[in-house]
Amino acid sequence: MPISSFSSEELSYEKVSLEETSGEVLLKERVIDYALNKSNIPLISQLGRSQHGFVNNLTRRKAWSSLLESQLQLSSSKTCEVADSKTINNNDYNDDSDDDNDNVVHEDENQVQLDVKRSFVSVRDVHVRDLLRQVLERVIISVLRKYPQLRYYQGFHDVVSVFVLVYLGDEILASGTDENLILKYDEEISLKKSVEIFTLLYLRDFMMDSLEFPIDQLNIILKIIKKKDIKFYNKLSLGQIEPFFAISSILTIFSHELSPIMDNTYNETLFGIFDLIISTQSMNVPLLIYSNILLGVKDQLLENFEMDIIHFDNKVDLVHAIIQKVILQSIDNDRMWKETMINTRKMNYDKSLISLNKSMLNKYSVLITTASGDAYYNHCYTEKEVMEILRKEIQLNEKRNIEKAQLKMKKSTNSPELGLINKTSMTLAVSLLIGAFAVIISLQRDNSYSTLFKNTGDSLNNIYEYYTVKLVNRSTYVWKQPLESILTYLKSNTTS
Amino acid sequence: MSGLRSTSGSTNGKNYDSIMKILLIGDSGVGKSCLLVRFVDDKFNPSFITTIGIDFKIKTVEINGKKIKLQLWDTAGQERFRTITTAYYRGAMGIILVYDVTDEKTFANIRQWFKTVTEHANDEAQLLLVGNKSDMDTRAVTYEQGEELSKELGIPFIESSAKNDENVNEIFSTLAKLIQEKIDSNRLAANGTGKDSNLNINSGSGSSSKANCC
Repeated sequence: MPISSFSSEELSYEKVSLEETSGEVLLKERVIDYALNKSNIPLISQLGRSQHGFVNNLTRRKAWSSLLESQLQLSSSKTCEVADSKTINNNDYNDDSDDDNDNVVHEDENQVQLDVKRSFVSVRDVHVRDLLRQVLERVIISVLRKYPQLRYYQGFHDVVSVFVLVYLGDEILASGTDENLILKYDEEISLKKSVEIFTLLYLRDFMMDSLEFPIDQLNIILKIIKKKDIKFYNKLSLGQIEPFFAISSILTIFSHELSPIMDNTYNETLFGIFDLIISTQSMNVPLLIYSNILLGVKDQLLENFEMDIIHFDNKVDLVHAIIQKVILQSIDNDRMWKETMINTRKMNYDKSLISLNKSMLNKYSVLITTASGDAYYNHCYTEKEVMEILRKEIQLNEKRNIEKAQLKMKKSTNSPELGLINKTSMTLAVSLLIGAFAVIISLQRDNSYSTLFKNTGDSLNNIYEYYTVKLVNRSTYVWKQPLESILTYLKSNTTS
Repeated sequence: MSGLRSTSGSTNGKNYDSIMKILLIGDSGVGKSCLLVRFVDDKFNPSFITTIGIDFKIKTVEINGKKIKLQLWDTAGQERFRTITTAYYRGAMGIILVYDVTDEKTFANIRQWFKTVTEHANDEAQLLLVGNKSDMDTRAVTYEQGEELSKELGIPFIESSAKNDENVNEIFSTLAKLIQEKIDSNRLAANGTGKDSNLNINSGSGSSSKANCC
């Protein structure tokens, strides 16, 4: 497109690109319709991956349903291959109305209510907001009751809010103050079905009994940054901290930071992120986006890092604070998002991500199985397969939780001062403590222990217990094994 | 009251006398974020968004003529986030334990929160118990119950309403003053007796914090 006027180059360029955009979008909408009519899943996913995603909510909800139903075949649905927007018959879908679980309250429903009450805060119209909240609650509860083995997490409601707006937002917003609005039954069924599939295939890792698996996912962000820009990674001390600062963005797929609706206007950026995820069947997308955002605002981050380093107690606080600050500053910057999305689309096909994921995550993770982005063309899971993966992942998570609880019990920090001791004095402390144990044991052996320490026996035991486990736990590579065996021996001696 | 707020604003230069790291913890929905937004921005929204993970805010206040920069960390209440939020207990000088006076369960859970604090925070950290939503008619926990628990735990107690802006500034000013006193007395003690001992086996066991009783 030639730019005629040099004096107002930027202005005319923007004008031209705007016109171009609307033309492009119109054309794209028709192509999406065509692909939906032909049930051409590869074409639909191709369209969703490119710029502007699925263009608007009308085509978007049809495309999401088609794609999601081509990825997971729920028991009562038709087979993946024939799923298409025209033939999807919601009567075939078991909306768990006959399900036994339907009336059994899920253990997390109380938390759901607390969060639903705080959803759609940017919608000003009270009536509209209430309607949106009612739908949101119904959808979340129906998924949880159908799969009681899933745990609700704060942030799941944000993700489901996006689906509610895509499927029913137009209708509810148009209703204005019509209090007698009866929502289209079919649309709500499609909504529930899509949320259900999305939950099982994409959000499963987040819905275990702990945050262990999502935290594993967060660590991928650090690895990506390390790979892309090791200097930046080192300067920001990212090797020394856990990336907890990213938890809300990842758990909510940015729907916590990017309000999905503001003054009755949808957030197309946010919907575009979901388009990309669903059409590539890849939960790498949020992790890549987060990494690309950080890399994009690298200079501001480094500047703030230097500036604020004296103000913070430790690097965890410092890095969290500056990332939060810089991201908040650029969250509404369209150009930043445009660049981020372009980079993310490119990187999403990077095969090295697959091996990275395999080295960092549990083998049933969505990033390795159902939303790996690896075989997205027509890859379809059966409900049975996914239930099996879910069962195994839950088992693995339970195992992790138990291991972690044991570790925590060992750590049981009644005396955090030990942490202040440096490694050299540690050796000294160890010898002193072993001496102390010997005294206790000898006292116990000749039975004078109980008489000597009638009242203080318990606290001594506590101290003893604490140091035993603390030392086993804190031990470094070099002296761990021998000391561990001594301590285990001592422990078994005293407790027997 | 308003004097505390008038010096607000986040600053990057070093135009303050000291920094205090403060944490807000407690069950989901008790009003931690509402208290913070009331204090920092003087706003109230009954349906304030859920905190996911941990949020950071800054507010500079003036206490006894000194400018104190408060680094305020707001935490998610849902149990599963504890793995993450406890990572931020490190270096906290003040920790506000919040419950909802209309919800007995949130009050009962304070003991659990207290335990989490003793496990993860510095022994030096100044704690404060806050019963929020004191404006509500549907009260389930009396002032006396709150006071009794605070005595048992050996920490000061305030009832507040983020909605009516009652005692919100007091929470932060009380805490900042107590922290300042601790810093000052520690400095005195350090000057008088020399270096602090590193190994103190009894500390953090729960009973020793009685000394801070209100």
